[in-house]
Amino acid sequence: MKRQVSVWRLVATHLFLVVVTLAVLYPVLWVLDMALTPGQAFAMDPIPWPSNPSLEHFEKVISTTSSDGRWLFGRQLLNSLIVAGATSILGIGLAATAGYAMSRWAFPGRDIGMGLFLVTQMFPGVVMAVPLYILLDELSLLDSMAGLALVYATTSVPFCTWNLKGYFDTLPLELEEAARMDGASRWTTFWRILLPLSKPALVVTGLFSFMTAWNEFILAATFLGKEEAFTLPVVLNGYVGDFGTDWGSFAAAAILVSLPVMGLFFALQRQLVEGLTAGSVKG
Amino acid sequence: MATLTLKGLQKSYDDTQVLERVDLQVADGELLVLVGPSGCGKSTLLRCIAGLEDISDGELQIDGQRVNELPPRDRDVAMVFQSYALYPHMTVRENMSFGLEVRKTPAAEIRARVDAAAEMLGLEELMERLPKAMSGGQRQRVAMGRAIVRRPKVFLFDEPLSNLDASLRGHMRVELKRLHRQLDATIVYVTHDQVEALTLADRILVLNRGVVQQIGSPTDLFDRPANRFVAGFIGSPSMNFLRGQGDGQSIQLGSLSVPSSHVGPVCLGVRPNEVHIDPTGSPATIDVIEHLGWELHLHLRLEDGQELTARVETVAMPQARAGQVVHIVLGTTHLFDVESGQRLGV
Repeated sequence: MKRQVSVWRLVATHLFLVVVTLAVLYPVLWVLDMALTPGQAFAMDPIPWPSNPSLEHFEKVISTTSSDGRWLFGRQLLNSLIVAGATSILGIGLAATAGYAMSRWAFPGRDIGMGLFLVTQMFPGVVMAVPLYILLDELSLLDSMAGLALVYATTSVPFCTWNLKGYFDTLPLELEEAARMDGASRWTTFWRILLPLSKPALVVTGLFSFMTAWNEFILAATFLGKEEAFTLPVVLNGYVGDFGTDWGSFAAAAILVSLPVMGLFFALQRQLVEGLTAGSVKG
Repeated sequence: MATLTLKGLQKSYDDTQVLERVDLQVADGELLVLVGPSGCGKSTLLRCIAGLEDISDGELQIDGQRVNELPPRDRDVAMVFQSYALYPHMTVRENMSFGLEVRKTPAAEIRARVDAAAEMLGLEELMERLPKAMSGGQRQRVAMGRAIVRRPKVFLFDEPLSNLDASLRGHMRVELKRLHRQLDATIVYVTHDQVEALTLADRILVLNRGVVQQIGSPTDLFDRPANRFVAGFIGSPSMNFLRGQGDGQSIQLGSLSVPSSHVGPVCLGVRPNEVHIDPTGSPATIDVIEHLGWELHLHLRLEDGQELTARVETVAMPQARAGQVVHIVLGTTHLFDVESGQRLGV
């Protein structure tokens, strides 16, 4: 009797999980359906399954060229990778050193500084669009990857610093003291002891920076005017026109934009889980 | 190896004095144990010697040279931490090599020194393991190996056995003693465990509230404690302290009497093993009995209400029970000033 109840429970649990999974995946399947269905119509079929699947939208998106015949999609993908990569490196590089200092030294202004870092996170990016536009224009950094990466770093560095400071706080001070006794300098201790131990936190923080930059649209659309300088979210927006939307290409481009981030998640999922739970219990 | 000298060393945090004028001379090859209750400043003193804490006043010399201003790396001392502080992402070999690598020691020499230390500590089979894959005792040995390979002038141990279980602690104590003999090293060793202090030390420094209470050999401290604190801290079970009144001939403690030329009130100390059951003695009632296998700890109450502990062999009193009246005499006693707690007489 007891066994029967547990079987029913098992079936009910799995049924529930299947329903929830389908609900979560349904919009994704719909996008996939649109991307694989030839034509430009918005899919209205409640069952998102392509009747006559084709890769024509993907071919069209990937083979987009500029007016002078150069391969545009490749350039724009590279732009996104450069901006997101540079934002991550800048974010991690500055935040790791800043977070270490914030964690280990009590200096005047530390707490106020950390508080201000938090305040910067409270404003939506669009609030800063105009002043940042003027700044970038003054510095001749409009339409440049460097300019965009710098702008993204202004929001990612404070978050990353908070995140990494929190992680450094959990690392025992005795490890650093042991390294000092061993003869290591501050930098050697940081580089060879602290950073390797912070890998999970660095991965999470880096991934956050990468995704923020990878997905960001408003600032990119504001600061980038030339087609060759576009990042992928701006490209994606290009398929939505005033008089009509190329839904097939839009869906195909959306999937292509998601692939690198999905790949990163798969590659780093072990460290990601470690990082998200790191510090929750004393290990 | 080297000598270590502390001249009037002081440490304070803001207005709080943690260490008060510590004077100490540790001889070449000596094992000195710093002992005292939690928060007495013993670890702070060790960290001052290591260079992990600044010295507020006084002088610290290693081999006669002032090192107050030198950072830890230039003092040529090695420290074994209570938590071992092994680098979790490095193998045993990497942990032991790290200190030599950062000092730019040639690779061949690093290997030779690490292998020699591993052999000395029986770590040969564990060299490629990470700390998390080792037991507490093994980690402790790696922590010691990390210090040994550096061949420092002075070794500092900060309660290195306190995280181990009782049996392993006993085993490691013997290993440490053997290691000290092999290395002939100058060692300063911090512990709150008086058994560790008594068994390991050439000399013991007893600290309380940042003040040095006594420095001496284990026998000195046990047989001639300088004050009530040392008398109570060294020895297990603790020394009994009884209030008495001296008349120049003897000291009276209720019906108990101890011959002494002391006149006036006094605090009389007697170790539990010096409280003897003797039918000719004074009566005392057994309050509580602790059975420890081959010996009993009898918690007794005298006629005047004062309490004391006697340590007797189980075979001598197999029928002992609470409430029973026994008769006791006191053997060797120590006299302490009632006010200051300082030892009286020679």
